[in-house]
Amino acid sequence: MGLKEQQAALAKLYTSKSSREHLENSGSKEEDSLELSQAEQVKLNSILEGDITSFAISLLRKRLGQVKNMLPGTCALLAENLWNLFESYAANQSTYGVKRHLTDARNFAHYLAQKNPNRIFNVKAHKAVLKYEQTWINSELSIQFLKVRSFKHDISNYTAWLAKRGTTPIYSGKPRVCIWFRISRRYRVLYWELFPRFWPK
Amino acid sequence: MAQTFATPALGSLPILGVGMGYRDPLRNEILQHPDEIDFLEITADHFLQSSNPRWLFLDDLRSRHTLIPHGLNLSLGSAEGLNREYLNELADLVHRVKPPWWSEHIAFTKAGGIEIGHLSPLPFNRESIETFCDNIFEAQDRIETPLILENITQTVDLPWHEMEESKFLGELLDRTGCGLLLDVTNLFINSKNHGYDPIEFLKTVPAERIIQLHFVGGMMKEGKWIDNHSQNTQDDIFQLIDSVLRYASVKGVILERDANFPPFTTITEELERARDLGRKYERWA
Repeated sequence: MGLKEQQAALAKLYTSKSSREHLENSGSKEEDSLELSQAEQVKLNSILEGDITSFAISLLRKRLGQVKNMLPGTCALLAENLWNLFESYAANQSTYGVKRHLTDARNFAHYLAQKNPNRIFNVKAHKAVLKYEQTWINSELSIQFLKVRSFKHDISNYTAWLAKRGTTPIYSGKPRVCIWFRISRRYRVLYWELFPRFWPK
Repeated sequence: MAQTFATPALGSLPILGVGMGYRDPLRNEILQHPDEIDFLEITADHFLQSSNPRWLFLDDLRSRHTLIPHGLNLSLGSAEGLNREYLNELADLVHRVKPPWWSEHIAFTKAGGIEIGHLSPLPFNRESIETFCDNIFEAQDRIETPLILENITQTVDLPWHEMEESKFLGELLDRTGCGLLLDVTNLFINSKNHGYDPIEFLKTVPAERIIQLHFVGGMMKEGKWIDNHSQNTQDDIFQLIDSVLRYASVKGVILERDANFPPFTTITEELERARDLGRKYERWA
């Protein structure tokens, strides 16, 4: 068992909960196999519950920290449920590439939209936040991008408030049309908000 | 104390002084306080695959400060070889920035088709040394600018060690000709978590190899010290910096704060404190 095999096994154990469970139980699903010898399994088992699991959890915390930067409003909405939701999403899913944090945020947002915990995104204001932040992420990940979205109220300030204070303000303000435009990867995303000059309070 | 340098390249590197890691949330403060920052370290990943405006900003930053690119994902310790796509992008960045040196880690970040997403330790043994040497020689062929290697926190006590970390480090630096980016906070954390004297460890590292330092505050969590780069620097760590600067003719020191940013005056005070320590041992003016 050489360094290449040891590193491959460690990479699985650090990033996959099912691989850690497989090592602990020794003999569950074939696809979780670490391809280790019996002696290697014993060695790694001795540090599984301590160092390996601690490192794995710290990796998830790091990923969550990055995702919170990309989805601040959405993560604020999830409040005390955030960690459990992220852990269940990320437990067996790795990320890749220089833009891994954006990809992770996009995939987590997609997971939340599908799972809709406590029907939180049935509330129109909350759904608007998720849609708004998802569009930003998609625009940053795309080579070319054009999206026009309408929101009933002041979505950017609402999201910023949520991210800073963690409390849900009243979803109000003027309705707006938000436009995201990117002509190519060499240029940054251009963003405009259009709203009526006069609007009854 | 006269010091001889192992290779002419390391010996002739310029003295840069004390600076900080460039971080976008501190962009305005960094641009507004040029005299309090001697040089900047840039995280390579934050500038790879950039848009044109981002490249122009990098050029502007370079016109104001010496920039040292700091890689995160080259995975010099990977037994399956380097991340070559990353190496090519990193080479473009280094050639654009023209630094006196660049840095990466004594770690691996990918294996078996999986990107771990963080710096992971290797066992201190012969096979690890050979793996590092092969990868570093390839990187040095592609990027001729001197490379320095950073020590990481030993978060996992792997069961395959055959030698002490100090012996491993010494041989690795000697075989590759690389300098050392001594992360003083990581040394502090490892010494606390693994129960050894950091000063005794320091004495085993060839002084002429220590080119740059990293520092920032550490944090205790669940009975262990961790390096989340988010705390003010403790006095113990400044004392360790003092010991290192007394021991080695370091060329530069970087404060590596990533999050939980305090008022900028707190950051500049930490920089000045490190600068004063260097002046004490005549490392810089």
